[in-house]
Amino acid sequence: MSSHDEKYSGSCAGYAIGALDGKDLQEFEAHLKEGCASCGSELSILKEASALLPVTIPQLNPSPELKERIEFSARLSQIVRKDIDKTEEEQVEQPDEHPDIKPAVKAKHSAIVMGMLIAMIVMLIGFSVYIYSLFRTLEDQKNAGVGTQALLVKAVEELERKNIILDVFNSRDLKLIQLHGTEFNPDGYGQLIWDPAAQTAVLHVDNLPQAAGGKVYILWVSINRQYLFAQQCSLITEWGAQNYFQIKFAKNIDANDFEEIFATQEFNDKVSYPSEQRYLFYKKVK
Amino acid sequence: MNLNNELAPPAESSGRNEEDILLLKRIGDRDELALTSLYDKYSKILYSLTMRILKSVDDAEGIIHDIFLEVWNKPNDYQSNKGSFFSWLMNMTRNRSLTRKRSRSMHKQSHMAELNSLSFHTETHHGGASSSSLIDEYRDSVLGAINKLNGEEQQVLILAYYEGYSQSEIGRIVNLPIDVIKFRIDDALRTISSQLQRRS
Ligand SMILES: [Zn+2]
Repeated sequence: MSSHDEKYSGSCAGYAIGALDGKDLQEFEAHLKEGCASCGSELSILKEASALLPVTIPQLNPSPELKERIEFSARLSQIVRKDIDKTEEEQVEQPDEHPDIKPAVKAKHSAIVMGMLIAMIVMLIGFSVYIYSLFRTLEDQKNAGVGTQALLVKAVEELERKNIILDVFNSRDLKLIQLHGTEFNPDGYGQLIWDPAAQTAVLHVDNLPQAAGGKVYILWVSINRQYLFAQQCSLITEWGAQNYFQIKFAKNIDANDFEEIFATQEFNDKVSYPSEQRYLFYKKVK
Repeated sequence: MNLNNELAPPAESSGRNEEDILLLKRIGDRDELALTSLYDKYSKILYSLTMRILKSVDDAEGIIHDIFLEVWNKPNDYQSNKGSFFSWLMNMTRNRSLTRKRSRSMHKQSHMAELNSLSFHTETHHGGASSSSLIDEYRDSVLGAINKLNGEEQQVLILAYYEGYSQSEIGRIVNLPIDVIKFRIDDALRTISSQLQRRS
Protein backbone atom coordinates (compact mmCIF):
# COMPACT_ATOMS: atom_id res chain seq x y z
CA MET A 1 0.00 0.00 0.00
CA SER A 2 1.43 3.38 -0.99
CA SER A 3 1.71 6.21 1.52
CA HIS A 4 -0.97 8.06 -0.44
CA ASP A 5 -3.44 5.18 -0.08
CA GLU A 6 -2.63 4.75 3.56
CA LYS A 7 -3.06 8.41 4.34
CA TYR A 8 -5.94 9.48 2.11
CA SER A 9 -7.90 6.61 0.55
CA GLY A 10 -8.95 5.51 4.02
CA SER A 11 -10.52 8.93 4.52
CA CYS A 12 -12.68 8.90 1.38
CA ALA A 13 -15.58 6.89 2.82
CA GLY A 14 -15.68 8.89 6.05
CA TYR A 15 -15.64 12.11 4.08
CA ALA A 16 -18.34 10.85 1.70
CA ILE A 17 -20.79 10.38 4.57
CA GLY A 18 -19.63 13.41 6.57
CA ALA A 19 -18.14 11.40 9.44
CA LEU A 20 -14.58 12.64 9.10
CA ASP A 21 -13.65 15.23 11.69
CA GLY A 22 -10.72 16.91 13.41
CA LYS A 23 -7.25 16.65 11.94
CA ASP A 24 -8.31 13.92 9.46
CA LEU A 25 -10.90 16.25 7.97
CA GLN A 26 -8.52 19.20 7.69
CA GLU A 27 -5.82 17.11 6.05
CA PHE A 28 -8.19 15.42 3.64
CA GLU A 29 -9.81 18.69 2.58
CA ALA A 30 -6.40 20.22 1.98
CA HIS A 31 -5.46 17.17 -0.10
CA LEU A 32 -8.66 17.47 -2.17
CA LYS A 33 -7.94 21.14 -2.76
CA GLU A 34 -4.64 20.10 -4.32
CA GLY A 35 -6.81 18.34 -6.91
CA CYS A 36 -6.06 14.65 -6.35
CA ALA A 37 -7.91 12.95 -9.21
CA SER A 38 -7.77 9.52 -7.60
CA CYS A 39 -9.46 10.65 -4.36
CA GLY A 40 -11.92 12.83 -6.28
CA SER A 41 -13.06 9.89 -8.33
CA GLU A 42 -13.24 7.47 -5.38
CA LEU A 43 -15.21 10.04 -3.47
CA SER A 44 -17.82 10.43 -6.16
CA ILE A 45 -18.31 6.65 -6.38
CA LEU A 46 -18.63 6.31 -2.62
CA LYS A 47 -21.06 9.24 -2.45
CA GLU A 48 -23.29 7.58 -5.03
CA ALA A 49 -23.18 4.34 -3.03
CA SER A 50 -24.03 6.08 0.24
CA ALA A 51 -26.99 7.85 -1.38
CA LEU A 52 -28.49 4.42 -2.07
CA LEU A 53 -28.33 3.22 1.55
CA PRO A 54 -31.90 4.39 2.31
CA VAL A 55 -33.41 2.04 -0.30
CA THR A 56 -33.31 -0.57 2.47
CA ILE A 57 -35.27 1.33 5.13
CA PRO A 58 -39.07 1.01 5.41
CA GLN A 59 -40.54 3.09 2.60
CA LEU A 60 -43.19 5.54 3.76
CA ASN A 61 -45.54 7.65 1.70
CA PRO A 62 -45.82 11.32 2.60
CA SER A 63 -49.34 12.69 2.98
CA PRO A 64 -51.10 13.71 -0.26
CA GLU A 65 -51.33 17.25 1.16
CA LEU A 66 -47.55 17.57 0.96
CA LYS A 67 -47.63 17.32 -2.81
CA GLU A 68 -50.41 19.92 -2.96
CA ARG A 69 -48.51 22.19 -0.63
CA ILE A 70 -45.37 22.00 -2.75
CA GLU A 71 -47.25 22.61 -6.00
CA PHE A 72 -49.07 25.48 -4.40
CA SER A 73 -45.92 27.08 -2.98
CA ALA A 74 -44.19 26.69 -6.36
CA ARG A 75 -47.07 28.44 -8.11
CA LEU A 76 -47.09 31.16 -5.48
CA SER A 77 -43.39 31.91 -5.79
CA GLN A 78 -43.92 31.90 -9.54
CA ILE A 79 -46.71 34.50 -9.38
CA VAL A 80 -44.66 36.76 -7.16
CA ARG A 81 -41.57 36.55 -9.36
CA LYS A 82 -43.46 36.99 -12.59
CA ASP A 83 -45.11 40.14 -11.34
CA ILE A 84 -41.86 41.68 -10.17
CA ASP A 85 -40.26 40.99 -13.56
CA LYS A 86 -43.29 42.37 -15.35
CA THR A 87 -43.43 45.52 -13.24
CA GLU A 88 -39.79 46.20 -13.91
CA GLU A 89 -40.24 45.66 -17.64
CA GLU A 90 -43.25 47.96 -17.73
CA GLN A 91 -41.34 50.67 -15.95
CA VAL A 92 -38.63 50.51 -18.57
CA GLU A 93 -40.90 50.18 -21.56
CA GLN A 94 -43.72 52.52 -20.61
CA PRO A 95 -42.51 55.99 -19.74
CA ASP A 96 -44.90 58.74 -18.69
CA GLU A 97 -45.98 59.74 -22.23
CA HIS A 98 -48.26 56.68 -22.27
CA PRO A 99 -50.54 57.49 -19.34
CA ASP A 100 -53.32 55.32 -20.87
CA ILE A 101 -51.34 52.16 -19.97
CA LYS A 102 -51.53 52.75 -16.24
CA PRO A 103 -55.10 51.63 -15.47
CA ALA A 104 -54.41 48.25 -17.12
CA VAL A 105 -51.29 47.78 -15.02
CA LYS A 106 -53.24 48.69 -11.91
CA ALA A 107 -55.99 46.23 -12.75
CA LYS A 108 -53.39 43.50 -13.19
CA HIS A 109 -51.90 44.33 -9.81
CA SER A 110 -55.17 44.23 -7.97
CA ALA A 111 -55.94 40.87 -9.59
CA ILE A 112 -52.66 39.60 -8.19
CA VAL A 113 -53.38 41.00 -4.75
CA MET A 114 -56.79 39.33 -4.98
CA GLY A 115 -55.00 36.09 -5.86
CA MET A 116 -52.78 36.52 -2.84
CA LEU A 117 -55.80 37.00 -0.63
CA ILE A 118 -57.33 33.81 -1.95
CA ALA A 119 -54.00 32.10 -1.45
CA MET A 120 -53.96 33.34 2.10
CA ILE A 121 -57.41 31.92 2.79
CA VAL A 122 -56.42 28.56 1.31
CA MET A 123 -53.32 28.57 3.44
CA LEU A 124 -55.39 29.22 6.55
CA ILE A 125 -56.66 25.69 6.06
CA GLY A 126 -53.22 24.38 6.80
CA PHE A 127 -50.62 25.25 4.22
CA SER A 128 -47.11 26.34 5.05
CA VAL A 129 -47.07 28.39 8.21
CA TYR A 130 -44.16 30.36 6.88
CA ILE A 131 -45.84 31.57 3.71
CA TYR A 132 -49.07 32.03 5.56
CA SER A 133 -47.50 34.43 8.04
CA LEU A 134 -45.76 36.20 5.19
CA PHE A 135 -49.03 36.87 3.41
CA ARG A 136 -50.87 37.77 6.58
CA THR A 137 -48.24 40.44 7.09
CA LEU A 138 -48.46 41.56 3.48
CA GLU A 139 -52.17 42.04 3.94
CA ASP A 140 -51.62 44.10 7.11
CA GLN A 141 -49.22 46.28 5.20
CA LYS A 142 -51.64 46.66 2.34
CA ASN A 143 -54.25 47.89 4.80
CA ALA A 144 -51.65 50.33 6.11
CA GLY A 145 -51.39 51.79 2.60
CA VAL A 146 -48.17 50.20 1.41
CA GLY A 147 -48.13 49.95 -2.41
CA THR A 148 -48.59 46.66 -4.26
CA GLN A 149 -45.17 46.75 -5.81
CA ALA A 150 -43.49 47.37 -2.47
CA LEU A 151 -45.37 44.38 -1.07
CA LEU A 152 -44.26 42.16 -3.89
CA VAL A 153 -40.66 43.26 -3.49
CA LYS A 154 -40.92 42.39 0.19
CA ALA A 155 -42.37 39.00 -0.67
CA VAL A 156 -39.46 38.17 -2.94
CA GLU A 157 -36.97 39.45 -0.37
CA GLU A 158 -38.58 37.23 2.20
CA LEU A 159 -38.43 34.17 -0.04
CA GLU A 160 -34.79 34.95 -0.70
CA ARG A 161 -34.13 35.30 3.01
CA LYS A 162 -35.50 31.79 3.40
CA ASN A 163 -33.13 30.57 0.70
CA ILE A 164 -30.16 32.08 2.51
CA ILE A 165 -31.14 30.07 5.57
CA LEU A 166 -31.40 26.94 3.52
CA ASP A 167 -27.96 27.57 2.05
CA VAL A 168 -26.52 28.06 5.49
CA PHE A 169 -28.21 24.86 6.65
CA ASN A 170 -26.52 22.98 3.88
CA SER A 171 -23.11 23.99 5.09
CA ARG A 172 -20.69 21.35 6.35
CA ASP A 173 -19.86 22.81 9.69
CA LEU A 174 -22.53 24.56 11.69
CA LYS A 175 -22.67 25.77 15.24
CA LEU A 176 -26.09 25.95 16.82
CA ILE A 177 -26.59 28.32 19.70
CA GLN A 178 -29.88 28.13 21.51
CA LEU A 179 -31.32 31.36 22.91
CA HIS A 180 -33.86 31.18 25.72
CA GLY A 181 -36.64 33.39 27.03
CA THR A 182 -36.09 35.64 30.04
CA GLU A 183 -38.17 36.76 33.00
CA PHE A 184 -39.62 39.54 30.83
CA ASN A 185 -40.39 37.18 28.03
CA PRO A 186 -40.55 33.58 29.28
CA ASP A 187 -41.88 32.11 26.01
CA GLY A 188 -39.17 33.69 23.89
CA TYR A 189 -37.12 31.33 21.82
CA GLY A 190 -34.26 31.77 19.41
CA GLN A 191 -31.57 29.92 17.59
CA LEU A 192 -28.37 31.24 16.09
CA ILE A 193 -27.22 28.98 13.29
CA TRP A 194 -23.61 29.90 12.74
CA ASP A 195 -21.54 29.01 9.72
CA PRO A 196 -17.92 29.68 10.77
CA ALA A 197 -16.49 29.25 7.27
CA ALA A 198 -18.75 31.92 5.78
CA GLN A 199 -18.63 34.10 8.91
CA THR A 200 -22.35 34.40 8.65
CA ALA A 201 -25.28 33.24 10.70
CA VAL A 202 -29.00 32.99 10.63
CA LEU A 203 -30.98 34.03 13.64
CA HIS A 204 -34.38 32.45 14.02
CA VAL A 205 -36.58 34.04 16.67
CA ASP A 206 -40.00 33.14 17.91
CA ASN A 207 -42.42 34.52 20.52
CA LEU A 208 -40.99 38.00 20.80
CA PRO A 209 -43.49 40.72 21.71
CA GLN A 210 -43.93 43.70 19.39
CA ALA A 211 -41.17 46.20 20.07
CA ALA A 212 -42.48 49.16 22.10
CA GLY A 213 -43.33 52.33 20.16
CA GLY A 214 -40.37 53.64 18.19
CA LYS A 215 -38.04 50.89 19.38
CA VAL A 216 -36.35 48.13 17.44
CA TYR A 217 -34.85 44.82 18.50
CA ILE A 218 -31.10 44.62 18.57
CA LEU A 219 -29.05 41.48 18.90
CA TRP A 220 -25.88 41.83 20.96
CA VAL A 221 -22.97 39.51 21.52
CA SER A 222 -20.40 39.83 24.23
CA ILE A 223 -16.83 38.71 23.67
CA ASN A 224 -14.14 39.27 26.28
CA ARG A 225 -16.69 41.25 28.29
CA GLN A 226 -17.09 43.75 25.47
CA TYR A 227 -20.54 44.23 24.02
CA LEU A 228 -20.66 44.10 20.24
CA PHE A 229 -23.66 45.39 18.44
CA ALA A 230 -24.48 42.52 16.13
CA GLN A 231 -27.60 43.30 14.23
CA GLN A 232 -30.69 45.40 14.20
CA CYS A 233 -33.68 43.13 13.81
CA SER A 234 -36.21 45.84 13.17
CA LEU A 235 -38.33 43.68 10.86
CA ILE A 236 -39.90 42.04 13.87
CA THR A 237 -41.98 45.14 14.39
CA GLU A 238 -43.35 44.91 10.86
CA TRP A 239 -43.47 41.23 10.14
CA GLY A 240 -44.97 39.47 13.12
CA ALA A 241 -43.37 37.66 16.00
CA GLN A 242 -41.70 34.79 14.16
CA ASN A 243 -38.81 35.62 11.91
CA TYR A 244 -35.46 34.84 10.41
CA PHE A 245 -32.53 37.22 10.07
CA GLN A 246 -29.20 36.99 8.41
CA ILE A 247 -26.45 38.12 10.74
CA LYS A 248 -23.08 39.31 9.52
CA PHE A 249 -20.27 40.33 11.79
CA ALA A 250 -17.82 43.05 10.89
CA LYS A 251 -14.77 41.09 11.99
CA ASN A 252 -13.83 37.41 12.14
CA ILE A 253 -15.32 35.79 15.15
CA ASP A 254 -15.00 32.28 16.50
CA ALA A 255 -18.36 31.03 17.79
CA ASN A 256 -16.53 29.62 20.82
CA ASP A 257 -15.68 33.20 21.84
CA PHE A 258 -19.31 34.16 22.39
CA GLU A 259 -19.83 34.72 26.10
CA GLU A 260 -23.36 36.06 25.92
CA ILE A 261 -25.85 36.69 23.17
CA PHE A 262 -29.04 38.54 23.84
CA ALA A 263 -31.71 40.77 22.35
CA THR A 264 -32.87 44.11 23.72
CA GLN A 265 -35.26 46.78 22.53
CA GLU A 266 -33.57 50.09 21.76
CA PHE A 267 -34.65 53.40 20.32
CA ASN A 268 -32.27 53.30 17.39
CA ASP A 269 -29.39 51.38 15.89
CA LYS A 270 -26.73 53.79 17.08
CA VAL A 271 -26.77 52.78 20.73
CA SER A 272 -23.40 51.63 21.98
CA TYR A 273 -24.46 49.87 25.17
CA PRO A 274 -27.41 47.55 25.70
CA SER A 275 -30.28 48.47 28.02
CA GLU A 276 -31.15 46.26 30.97
CA GLN A 277 -34.22 44.34 29.79
CA ARG A 278 -33.31 41.30 27.76
CA TYR A 279 -35.81 39.40 25.65
CA LEU A 280 -33.70 36.46 24.57
CA PHE A 281 -30.63 35.18 26.25
CA TYR A 282 -27.70 32.80 25.85
CA LYS A 283 -24.80 32.46 28.25
CA LYS A 284 -21.80 30.25 27.68
CA VAL A 285 -21.42 27.51 30.25
CA LYS A 286 -17.90 27.71 31.65
CA MET B 1 -7.14 -0.37 -2.15
CA ASN B 2 -8.05 1.65 -5.16
CA LEU B 3 -11.63 1.60 -6.35
CA ASN B 4 -11.13 3.45 -9.57
CA ASN B 5 -10.18 0.60 -11.84
CA GLU B 6 -12.72 -1.68 -10.31
CA LEU B 7 -15.68 0.69 -10.14
CA ALA B 8 -17.51 3.16 -12.29
CA PRO B 9 -21.01 4.52 -11.64
CA PRO B 10 -23.62 1.89 -12.59
CA ALA B 11 -24.62 2.28 -16.22
CA GLU B 12 -28.38 2.53 -15.66
CA SER B 13 -27.89 5.36 -13.16
CA SER B 14 -26.42 7.56 -15.89
CA GLY B 15 -29.62 7.03 -17.93
CA ARG B 16 -31.65 8.07 -14.92
CA ASN B 17 -29.51 11.13 -14.47
CA GLU B 18 -30.06 12.23 -18.04
CA GLU B 19 -33.82 12.00 -17.42
CA ASP B 20 -33.41 14.07 -14.25
CA ILE B 21 -31.37 16.71 -16.03
CA LEU B 22 -34.12 17.02 -18.63
CA LEU B 23 -36.67 17.48 -15.86
CA LEU B 24 -34.49 20.16 -14.29
CA LYS B 25 -34.23 21.91 -17.60
CA ARG B 26 -38.02 21.93 -17.88
CA ILE B 27 -38.22 23.28 -14.33
CA GLY B 28 -35.88 26.05 -15.44
CA ASP B 29 -38.48 26.79 -18.14
CA ARG B 30 -41.09 26.95 -15.35
CA ASP B 31 -42.86 23.71 -16.27
CA GLU B 32 -44.87 22.71 -13.18
CA LEU B 33 -45.45 19.20 -14.50
CA ALA B 34 -41.70 18.59 -14.44
CA LEU B 35 -41.65 19.44 -10.73
CA THR B 36 -44.53 17.02 -10.17
CA SER B 37 -42.65 14.29 -12.07
CA LEU B 38 -39.58 14.83 -9.94
CA TYR B 39 -41.74 14.73 -6.82
CA ASP B 40 -43.42 11.48 -7.88
CA LYS B 41 -40.06 9.97 -8.61
CA TYR B 42 -38.19 10.82 -5.42
CA SER B 43 -40.52 12.07 -2.67
CA LYS B 44 -41.05 8.62 -1.18
CA ILE B 45 -37.41 7.76 -0.61
CA LEU B 46 -36.54 11.31 0.53
CA TYR B 47 -39.45 11.27 2.95
CA SER B 48 -38.51 7.83 4.25
CA LEU B 49 -34.97 9.06 4.86
CA THR B 50 -36.07 12.19 6.79
CA MET B 51 -38.54 10.10 8.79
CA ARG B 52 -35.79 7.60 9.64
CA ILE B 53 -33.65 10.45 10.94
CA LEU B 54 -36.25 12.71 12.54
CA LYS B 55 -39.21 10.43 13.35
CA SER B 56 -41.56 13.39 13.03
CA VAL B 57 -44.09 13.81 10.22
CA ASP B 58 -44.17 17.60 10.60
CA ASP B 59 -40.41 18.00 10.51
CA ALA B 60 -39.99 15.53 7.65
CA GLU B 61 -42.68 17.11 5.49
CA GLY B 62 -41.30 20.58 6.22
CA ILE B 63 -37.88 19.55 4.97
CA ILE B 64 -39.21 17.85 1.84
CA HIS B 65 -41.39 20.88 1.08
CA ASP B 66 -38.44 23.26 1.35
CA ILE B 67 -36.18 21.06 -0.75
CA PHE B 68 -38.60 20.70 -3.67
CA LEU B 69 -39.37 24.42 -3.53
CA GLU B 70 -35.67 25.13 -3.68
CA VAL B 71 -35.23 22.84 -6.68
CA TRP B 72 -38.11 24.74 -8.29
CA ASN B 73 -36.60 28.15 -7.56
CA LYS B 74 -32.96 27.25 -8.21
CA PRO B 75 -32.73 24.27 -10.58
CA ASN B 76 -29.22 25.34 -11.57
CA ASP B 77 -27.87 24.71 -8.07
CA TYR B 78 -27.33 21.11 -9.10
CA GLN B 79 -24.09 20.69 -11.05
CA SER B 80 -23.88 17.49 -13.03
CA ASN B 81 -20.08 17.29 -12.77
CA LYS B 82 -20.41 16.70 -9.02
CA GLY B 83 -22.35 13.43 -9.20
CA SER B 84 -25.90 12.33 -9.94
CA PHE B 85 -28.90 14.50 -9.20
CA PHE B 86 -30.30 11.69 -7.06
CA SER B 87 -27.25 11.61 -4.77
CA TRP B 88 -27.21 15.42 -4.62
CA LEU B 89 -30.86 15.39 -3.55
CA MET B 90 -30.34 12.62 -1.00
CA ASN B 91 -27.29 14.35 0.42
CA MET B 92 -29.13 17.66 0.80
CA THR B 93 -32.09 15.90 2.45
CA ARG B 94 -29.85 14.02 4.83
CA ASN B 95 -27.84 17.13 5.77
CA ARG B 96 -30.96 19.15 6.47
CA SER B 97 -32.51 16.35 8.49
CA LEU B 98 -29.38 15.87 10.58
CA THR B 99 -29.12 19.63 11.18
CA ARG B 100 -32.72 19.68 12.38
CA LYS B 101 -32.09 16.66 14.55
CA ARG B 102 -29.03 18.27 16.15
CA SER B 103 -30.85 21.49 16.89
CA ARG B 104 -33.74 19.52 18.38
CA SER B 105 -31.65 17.32 20.61
CA MET B 106 -29.35 19.98 22.01
CA HIS B 107 -31.11 19.67 25.35
CA LYS B 108 -31.38 15.93 25.65
CA GLN B 109 -28.51 13.65 24.75
CA SER B 110 -29.44 10.00 24.81
CA HIS B 111 -26.75 7.96 23.10
CA MET B 112 -27.67 4.79 24.89
CA ALA B 113 -31.34 4.90 23.91
CA GLU B 114 -30.34 5.36 20.28
CA LEU B 115 -27.92 2.47 20.39
CA ASN B 116 -30.75 0.12 21.27
CA SER B 117 -32.63 0.93 18.11
CA LEU B 118 -29.71 0.45 15.75
CA SER B 119 -30.38 -2.06 13.05
CA PHE B 120 -30.74 -2.04 9.33
CA HIS B 121 -34.03 -3.36 8.05
CA THR B 122 -32.73 -6.41 6.35
CA GLU B 123 -36.10 -7.97 5.65
CA THR B 124 -37.67 -7.28 2.27
CA HIS B 125 -40.10 -4.49 2.82
CA HIS B 126 -42.66 -3.01 0.48
CA GLY B 127 -44.24 -0.01 2.19
CA GLY B 128 -47.36 1.65 0.81
CA ALA B 129 -49.19 0.89 -2.38
CA SER B 130 -47.10 2.82 -4.87
CA SER B 131 -43.84 1.23 -5.90
CA SER B 132 -40.68 3.04 -6.81
CA SER B 133 -38.54 1.71 -9.61
CA LEU B 134 -35.41 3.08 -8.00
CA ILE B 135 -36.06 1.23 -4.77
CA ASP B 136 -37.01 -1.98 -6.58
CA GLU B 137 -33.90 -1.68 -8.67
CA TYR B 138 -31.37 -1.32 -5.89
CA ARG B 139 -32.92 -2.76 -2.74
CA ASP B 140 -31.69 -6.33 -3.19
CA SER B 141 -28.13 -5.34 -4.04
CA VAL B 142 -27.81 -2.93 -1.14
CA LEU B 143 -29.40 -5.43 1.25
CA GLY B 144 -27.04 -8.11 -0.04
CA ALA B 145 -24.09 -5.84 0.63
CA ILE B 146 -25.31 -4.87 4.09
CA ASN B 147 -25.75 -8.53 4.97
CA LYS B 148 -22.09 -9.07 4.11
CA LEU B 149 -21.09 -6.54 6.79
CA ASN B 150 -20.60 -7.76 10.33
CA GLY B 151 -22.67 -6.32 13.18
CA GLU B 152 -19.98 -3.83 14.21
CA GLU B 153 -19.66 -2.42 10.71
CA GLN B 154 -23.44 -2.11 10.38
CA GLN B 155 -23.61 -0.31 13.71
CA VAL B 156 -20.90 2.19 12.80
CA LEU B 157 -22.49 2.87 9.42
CA ILE B 158 -25.89 3.54 11.00
CA LEU B 159 -24.40 5.83 13.66
CA ALA B 160 -22.64 7.82 10.96
CA TYR B 161 -25.31 7.84 8.26
CA TYR B 162 -28.63 8.06 10.07
CA GLU B 163 -27.57 9.49 13.42
CA GLY B 164 -25.03 11.89 11.92
CA TYR B 165 -22.23 11.19 14.37
CA SER B 166 -18.62 11.91 13.42
CA GLN B 167 -15.93 9.26 13.68
CA SER B 168 -14.69 10.57 17.02
CA GLU B 169 -18.21 10.77 18.43
CA ILE B 170 -18.82 7.18 17.34
CA GLY B 171 -15.50 6.21 18.92
CA ARG B 172 -16.71 7.64 22.22
CA ILE B 173 -20.13 5.98 21.94
CA VAL B 174 -18.84 2.48 21.20
CA ASN B 175 -15.62 2.99 23.16
CA LEU B 176 -13.16 2.22 20.38
CA PRO B 177 -10.22 4.16 18.87
CA ILE B 178 -10.97 6.48 15.93
CA ASP B 179 -8.79 4.46 13.57
CA VAL B 180 -10.96 1.39 14.12
CA ILE B 181 -14.11 3.42 13.41
CA LYS B 182 -12.54 4.94 10.34
CA PHE B 183 -11.58 1.53 9.03
CA ARG B 184 -15.07 0.13 9.64
CA ILE B 185 -16.76 3.01 7.81
CA ASP B 186 -14.34 2.63 4.93
CA ASP B 187 -14.75 -1.11 4.69
CA ALA B 188 -18.55 -0.96 4.97
CA LEU B 189 -19.06 1.67 2.30
CA ARG B 190 -16.60 0.05 -0.08
CA THR B 191 -18.30 -3.33 0.33
CA ILE B 192 -21.63 -1.73 -0.63
CA SER B 193 -20.07 0.16 -3.50
CA SER B 194 -18.42 -2.99 -4.92
CA GLN B 195 -21.64 -4.98 -4.61
CA LEU B 196 -23.55 -2.27 -6.51
CA GLN B 197 -20.91 -2.34 -9.18
CA ARG B 198 -21.01 -6.09 -9.52
CA ARG B 199 -24.75 -6.09 -10.21
CA SER B 200 -24.46 -3.78 -13.19
ZN1 LIG C 1 -5.65 11.46 -3.13
